[in-house]
Amino acid sequence: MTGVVLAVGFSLAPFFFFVLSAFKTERQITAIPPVWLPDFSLISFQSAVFKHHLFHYLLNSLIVAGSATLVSLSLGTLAGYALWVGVKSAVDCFVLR
Amino acid sequence: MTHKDRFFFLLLLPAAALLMLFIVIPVGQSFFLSFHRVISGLPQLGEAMVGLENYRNLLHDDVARHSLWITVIFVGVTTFFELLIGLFLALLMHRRFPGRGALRAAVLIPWAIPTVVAAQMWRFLMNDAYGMINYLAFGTKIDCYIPWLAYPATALGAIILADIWKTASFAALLILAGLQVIPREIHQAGLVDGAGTWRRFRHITWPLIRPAVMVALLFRTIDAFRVFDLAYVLTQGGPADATNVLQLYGYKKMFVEGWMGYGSAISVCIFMLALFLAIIYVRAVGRHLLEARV
Repeated sequence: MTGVVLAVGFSLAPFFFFVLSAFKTERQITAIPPVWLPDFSLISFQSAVFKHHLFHYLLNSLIVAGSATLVSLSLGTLAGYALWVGVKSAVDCFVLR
Repeated sequence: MTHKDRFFFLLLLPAAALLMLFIVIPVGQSFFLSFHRVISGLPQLGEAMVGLENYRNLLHDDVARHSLWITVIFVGVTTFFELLIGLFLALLMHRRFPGRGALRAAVLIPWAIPTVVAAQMWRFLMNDAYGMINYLAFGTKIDCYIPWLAYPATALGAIILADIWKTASFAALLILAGLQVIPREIHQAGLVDGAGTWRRFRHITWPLIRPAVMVALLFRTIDAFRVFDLAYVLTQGGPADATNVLQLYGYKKMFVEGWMGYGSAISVCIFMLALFLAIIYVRAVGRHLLEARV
């Protein structure tokens, strides 16, 4: 049980603080002591979407990720089949020995 | 070439062409540049062939030697702790208990975050004026706050910590895959024979997951050698070159100072180091993998 708490704390604590900051106002982000219960202001999201064109960047990421996946999967499938069935022994010699 | 061989050759051709275009040619170009004196700000000098001059200079470059040591420390410390924490996380995620799925999701979050974003997050947490780490250490005593990223030792510690946080779960994932192929019966047999938790781990689990741990070691060492984004975002190599890892040094020489040839020589050296490590590991691990499969 302690282990689970440690693992989750290790992985999530820094990230949790980051997420919390997303909902803070600018003043609350740099406040000491930190604000544990932010105003849940959506001002950062508003700024990201409208002022900094978040969806435009999201679209860019989508295009890059989509085409990279498509190309590597299709070419990789062809090559993988050929390597496994066709030249299996040759590849074993070359890669693993 | 038989008809069948030609078919396999055709199947391999697109992938080989892509690798050629995006890996072989750029790496080859780096090799080419590393034997020339090319200065990006002074194109009128042309590309004079200088033989091994760049490499000779590299041998006498104190900053490069320092960078190599920094990188070796980084690789050693991060790989060790990532494997240790990864093993712990994997053993935890392997146990059956309610909420295991949630735990797995939670552990994988650091790995899913882009490295630049994670680095920015750690920079925020380690801020000298409002960073969370300073608050946890000193409370509201603001005059005690430490600028973590401004001291050589703590700055290196910071990128090491950020890397461990980010990729321990990747090591855990690889080790977990190894754990899952161990048949339950072996553990039950050990239990019946009266072996305690430690002995079951030492004599059943550990030998069987060792190949997986070796694979994680291989991936993590080579990946750690290529560290760039963490140092770039968190410290830009500073203070006083304390986090100037090799990749960052090569990048600075090439694209900040414009010494394309010299920077390429650094890149080629990193490439050789990684290749050397990969060959050693694959020779050691590859056989295990093959034995496990056959």
